[in-house]
Amino acid sequence: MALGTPTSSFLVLPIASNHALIFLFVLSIITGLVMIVLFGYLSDQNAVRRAKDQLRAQLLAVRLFQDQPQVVLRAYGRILTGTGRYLRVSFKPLAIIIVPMLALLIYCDRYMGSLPFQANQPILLTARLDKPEALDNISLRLPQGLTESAPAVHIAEDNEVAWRLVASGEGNYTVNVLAGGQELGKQVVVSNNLAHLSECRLRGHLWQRLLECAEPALPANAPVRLLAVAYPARDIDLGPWTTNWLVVYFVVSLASALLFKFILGIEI
Amino acid sequence: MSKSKWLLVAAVICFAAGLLYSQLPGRNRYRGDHKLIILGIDGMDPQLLERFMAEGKMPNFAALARQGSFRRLTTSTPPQSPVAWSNLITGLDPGGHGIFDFIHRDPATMEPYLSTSRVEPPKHNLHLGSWVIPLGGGTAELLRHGAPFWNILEDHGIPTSVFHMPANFPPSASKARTLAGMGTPDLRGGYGTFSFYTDDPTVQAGEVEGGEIIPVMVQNWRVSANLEGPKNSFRKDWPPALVPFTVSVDPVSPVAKISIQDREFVLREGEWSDWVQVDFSLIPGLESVSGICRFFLKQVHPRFQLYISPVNIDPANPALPLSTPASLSRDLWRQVGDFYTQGIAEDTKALSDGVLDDGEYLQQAREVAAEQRRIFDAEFPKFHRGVFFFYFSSLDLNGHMMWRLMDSHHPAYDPTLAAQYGNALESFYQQIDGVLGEVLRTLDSNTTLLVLSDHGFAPFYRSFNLNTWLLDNGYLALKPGANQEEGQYFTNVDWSRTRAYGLGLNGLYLNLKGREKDGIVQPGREANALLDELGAKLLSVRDPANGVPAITRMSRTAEVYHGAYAKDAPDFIVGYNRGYRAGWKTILGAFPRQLFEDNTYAWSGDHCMDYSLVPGVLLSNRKIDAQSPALTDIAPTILAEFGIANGHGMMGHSVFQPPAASRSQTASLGR
Amino acid sequence: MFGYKLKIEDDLLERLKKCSEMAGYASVDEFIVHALEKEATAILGAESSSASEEEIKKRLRGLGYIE
Repeated sequence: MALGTPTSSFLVLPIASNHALIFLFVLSIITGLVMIVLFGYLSDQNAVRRAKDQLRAQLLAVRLFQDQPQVVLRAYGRILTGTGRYLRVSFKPLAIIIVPMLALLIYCDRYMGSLPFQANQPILLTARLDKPEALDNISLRLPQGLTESAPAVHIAEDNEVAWRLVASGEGNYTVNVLAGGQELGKQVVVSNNLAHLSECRLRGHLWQRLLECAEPALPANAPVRLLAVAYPARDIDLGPWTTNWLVVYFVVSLASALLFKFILGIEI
Repeated sequence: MSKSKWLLVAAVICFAAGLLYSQLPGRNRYRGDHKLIILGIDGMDPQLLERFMAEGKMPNFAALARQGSFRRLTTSTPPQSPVAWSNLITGLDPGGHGIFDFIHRDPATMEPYLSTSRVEPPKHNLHLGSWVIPLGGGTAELLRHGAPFWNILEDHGIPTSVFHMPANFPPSASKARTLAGMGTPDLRGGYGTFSFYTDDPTVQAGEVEGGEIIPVMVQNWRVSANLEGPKNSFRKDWPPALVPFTVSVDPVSPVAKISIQDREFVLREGEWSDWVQVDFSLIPGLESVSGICRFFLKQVHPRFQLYISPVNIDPANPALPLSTPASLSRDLWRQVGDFYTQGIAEDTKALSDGVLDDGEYLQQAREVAAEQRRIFDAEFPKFHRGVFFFYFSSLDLNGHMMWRLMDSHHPAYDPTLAAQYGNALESFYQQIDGVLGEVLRTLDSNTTLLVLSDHGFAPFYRSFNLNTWLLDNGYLALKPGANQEEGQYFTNVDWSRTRAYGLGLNGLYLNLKGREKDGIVQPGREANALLDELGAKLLSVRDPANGVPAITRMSRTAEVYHGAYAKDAPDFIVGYNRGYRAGWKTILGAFPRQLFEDNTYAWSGDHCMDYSLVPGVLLSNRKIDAQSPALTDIAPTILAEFGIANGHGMMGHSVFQPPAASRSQTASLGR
Repeated sequence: MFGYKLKIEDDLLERLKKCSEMAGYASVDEFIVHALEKEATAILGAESSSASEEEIKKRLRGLGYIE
């Protein structure tokens, strides 16, 4: 199963609404809390505390003995080794936390990175083939509710065909591309709500599929290398600025982690 | 929690509560019930309005005229939009607000410039190789003077919203909600520069009025080209910032895919794209300017023809100020999406240059009107208190372009096109009637409604080349050996032998000693005698084609203007007869051989004439007592509605409470 | 951020106020700025605002009234 397919959408179901900003804040705060609890559980809190105390002591020495260069130099040396010790005791919990974090980021990007199409908005569907000859033998079978609003554009130089589609209403559509005797489906989501989106279906390219696609790989013998739709990018509106959801996510989850560290008394 | 933590929490709550309170609507604001709605309709002509009302095509205007009042509104001298709207905004005449024409000249250099605003680059720069680091920011300056009525209202706590007001770019500092209108430049700094890409060898490439024609090649069914944006002031010599794009055309079908930055879209032949946001990089990764534009795929086969609109300032992320508060343009973008921000959005030049045909131009003009309606529909329902002003441009620009298709006497009349588009202007009038209908439904007894236009309209059949007349009559001299028909901007003029010159659409200046760079006419008696002579002679000029006088009014600005800036004005405002206007080339200081020319351009209606021939309209749901209200009465009327006395220098009176003495512009030499 | 501030003696300010009212300026600030601008142009002359013919053309481009 591709990472983050709709079957795993239980995570966002309770708040699957169009309030993306609320969802983002809730998610970021929970992430901060989980990160800090996990860190507390996975780390040797005494060792972290000791490493930080030693660092503090050396910093104090630098301030107190400014007139004694030898002491100051020695303190700087100990700050360096103390930093190394601190990183060493933090490494294990961080390394463990980062794996689910990455998975969570990839998963959430399917919801937060792009906007679903709107009804009556042009949808660009692209198919990239292996050979230019195949361009003349490719066609679409559209579900009810989706129509072609312009003739297909055949681009021989890129072995590509582009269709412009339009949806009459909301829905989770599957467009079927007919090529080389095969029928290849591509998900197209038209919605006003947060939705699980997959921009492409790829043949091969495991890593790219893991990162960018949330649909099954195209069959190895398919004449089509790529099926893609370009969902509009989602900007998080912060009044005077707009930004990517990741920026908000990192800032809020970090602030949340610091707050919970303070409340729960966990050393990081 | 410790005491310090509780203190911190309390401080945060207090801060949040204070912030919330300060944002509450109506705080420290006007608490009365009275409301004033003003629909400012550029170029609505009283004669056309009466005709359409009589024909039953404008039922809402007819109802308003019947139940309230309908008057002709005396326009400005000269009746040009920047001048007229400045009269309305300030309640001053051009002597008070300093806007006399679309085009002014600097007497120290004799260079023409756009009258309402000036955009200046940073004054000091650091040069590092091919890079230029500006020390300080550039500035955009509004050249209109005088206090706008909305500032006076806001000073009295009356909440005011003013949308698309002409002659207000950059928007003057204000607590009111204002959005700039006519006078706002595109990202290239002019009134609007379109780009047209074609592989047609018969089309001459290069700059045309209002745009640029760029030759391209279709190779392997693909076109690669650049979209030109603003000048990059971070680079030596300020080359334009460019964004590459490609167009992949289908070998058979009339359709193409356009790719620009991270955007891809498909257009069929004859289709317009939505707005496309484009980032022009100035310093890679560090500094960029955002613009928006629309694509029109005019033709795919056999010739490739692609029009791209002028790149507008992005309302979501404006590179130059568009509104007060600065966040307003972004708020509007949130509500209605992207919209034209350039002051004159209808691309009349593309029609004049033949880049768009009448049908294509009308598509674009209708989209502009629809966008203005969308903004109106988003904002008007929110209006509950104070003053709401909204400006509509479509009757003016389409009056200019479509007159020839509804007037069989026009030299540019084409019966085939007239059959297709002869009622285009009428349909724009009807759209405005629809807006009025929307407003009328909301009116209550506490609301005053003013519907007004800055001037009316007239045909533009023949042009009169004022500078050619001055040359022919010995008031202006060219340098020895200069070719009369070469050069613009007075480049061939011998100022040491020139006593008068025409600049702008209605301006006639003396070459005055002490004012003009190389002035020779002595102020005082000599200047007055020359003005007398010029006034009398110009009023007697007849069109040899039909014996009709070309000019019906010569207004001496020293007599008709009041205020500190009257001394910067042209010495005469030339009032052309109905059907006449300043020639196309005379406006910027060129000298065509012919004194009179037929106007065969698409720009076929105009109003830059004798002010008395092109009055605007004024309608209200209340009884208008003034028999001849003028634009300068509007600001006093707005203030009087809230019991506020005239601002400094305002010369008019509320149209609902006329002064005892009648007003007249007696200082004009009229026929 | 707050622009340049100039200190003016009270009696001069009074005179300037009187002048600005007599001349018809909307405010004394407007009068002072205009007077200083005029003086600067007189001293710096043409060099401060000269622009090429091409520049002028570009700035005016797109105005429907001209050709």
